[in-house]
Amino acid sequence: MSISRVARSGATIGFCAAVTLGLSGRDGLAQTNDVSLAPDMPADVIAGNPIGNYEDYNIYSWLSFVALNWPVGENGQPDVNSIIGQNGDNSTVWETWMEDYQILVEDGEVPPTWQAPRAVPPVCGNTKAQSGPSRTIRHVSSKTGAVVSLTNQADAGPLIDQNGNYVRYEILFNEIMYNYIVQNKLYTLAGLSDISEINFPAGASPFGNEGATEVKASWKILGKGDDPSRFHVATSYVYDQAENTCASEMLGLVGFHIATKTNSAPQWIWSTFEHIDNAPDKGNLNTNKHYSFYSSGCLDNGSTCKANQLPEMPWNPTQSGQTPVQVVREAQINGTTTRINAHFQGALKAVNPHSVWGNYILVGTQYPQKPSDPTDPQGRPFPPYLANTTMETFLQGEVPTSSSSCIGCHSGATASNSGKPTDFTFILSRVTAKD
Amino acid sequence: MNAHVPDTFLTLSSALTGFTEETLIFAQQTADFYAVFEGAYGADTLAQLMQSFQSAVGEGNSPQQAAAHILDETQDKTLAEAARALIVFWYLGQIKSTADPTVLHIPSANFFKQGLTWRAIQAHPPAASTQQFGYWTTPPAALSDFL
Repeated sequence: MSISRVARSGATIGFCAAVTLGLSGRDGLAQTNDVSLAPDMPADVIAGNPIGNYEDYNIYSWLSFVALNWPVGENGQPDVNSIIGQNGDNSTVWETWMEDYQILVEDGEVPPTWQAPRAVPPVCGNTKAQSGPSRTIRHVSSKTGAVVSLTNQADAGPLIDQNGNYVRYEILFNEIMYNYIVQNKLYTLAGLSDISEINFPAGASPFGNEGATEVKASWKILGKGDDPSRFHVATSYVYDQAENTCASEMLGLVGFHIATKTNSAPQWIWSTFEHIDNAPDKGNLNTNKHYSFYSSGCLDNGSTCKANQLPEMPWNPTQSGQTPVQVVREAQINGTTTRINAHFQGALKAVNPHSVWGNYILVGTQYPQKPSDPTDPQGRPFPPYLANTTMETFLQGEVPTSSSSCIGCHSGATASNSGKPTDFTFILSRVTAKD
Repeated sequence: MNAHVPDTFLTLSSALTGFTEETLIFAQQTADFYAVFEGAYGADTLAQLMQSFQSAVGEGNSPQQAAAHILDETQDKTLAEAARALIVFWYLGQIKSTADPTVLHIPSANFFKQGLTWRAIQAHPPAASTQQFGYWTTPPAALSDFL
């Protein structure tokens, strides 16, 4: 296996070299077998044949996952003196990024400066914190009409875990994307109208040295039956905007999307990861393993408990007798992806057998095989369908236009005040500030 | 996502349909034309189709000449009918049912969407466009881009 075709930007920490897996690294890199763990984002994939090499894209995804989850140092930069998971869990680079709601300001407001502290809702000030919450997860977005809200999945409803709690979602973006939005005033309807074309950087640009990257995370409240030592954990304020209530909770990361725009992929490269305790494969349901979103006993009950069905709504976590969502992975993970998962999980566990990061798997990577195809602005995505069981639970499958396709869905993203394409991000579909 | 298919199947299909192998690979990734055709017409018939094609090419014929040879009913009527069915399958996504061979059916919506007929008319299947908002204000791409 080689990643010599994956060019590295080195922008994050001033490192610039192509790294071949298995060859000598540098200080701060963890070398295990033929996998390098490094804190810098890969810049791009250079296609090895006319329609690309799926293995390369999956390696690209893992390198991105490792870099984004690298221990964070000062100013949101990776701590090059640490190694991912050396202490089991660690705070991460991406968690210092800007969240979508911070850029979706009210009329006349301007977004806070990059990495300005997040404002904690006043009601959360009355909450007794467990150990200094690092995040604020909002229960209901104030922006209506969104494709996704903070408890609802894209074009679908909420996911309820086996303890009866909502899964929460966050959308964050890197500094390059932030700079592009702010400098073009795309947080206002006027800015969206004034710009002739929304075209986020795909590499080095006046906005920064990397391409635009957006991530989406799904979190569950860790409770009965959950082992926090198996998850990346964040102690968070969970804020219910509608009820104006706030609770301090320990959340575990259960899903993680990464979307990066590169020179070779103007339709972006889409990677999706999950925790290994999420749900079983469709063909492997007879299991006693504890899952966050599946109980074999429930499905045994027959018609009252079907896989991948929306929950009763409105869902009330305090009401007993309701059936949580029973999640099953419809499509088995591709063999190439499974093999690369084993490589990276092995490398992460070699750093520390208790590394939480070894408990995550890549579900797949969707990329454009023919980015400049004049007949298809989606660039012939491969694989045609891709779903994360915590983020596209109800859209799994292979039905055209309704089953989950990252590029297929996001290619339809338009500005909130017009049909102007927003370059594959739905954040700008929720702008309401006039100017 | 479908398993790897023999190169000869794609070369044969390209010669029969007039579309490039690359276009057929993209379609095959979403809808398993190879496996479904094999299920409907049998592995023996499919192997015979590919072997006849390969033999004709090996004798110095162009892929188009080899395809024309297979479609010549005076040579082998059964094989010619299977080749025509393969053309129909690629263009319309329609093939005889394994449950009832007298009935033609479209195995799934993916076969309908990937049917080459839409590309042949420089269009897209109803309700399954990959174009972005406002695409109708610009002319479609050239026919050669669709092949």
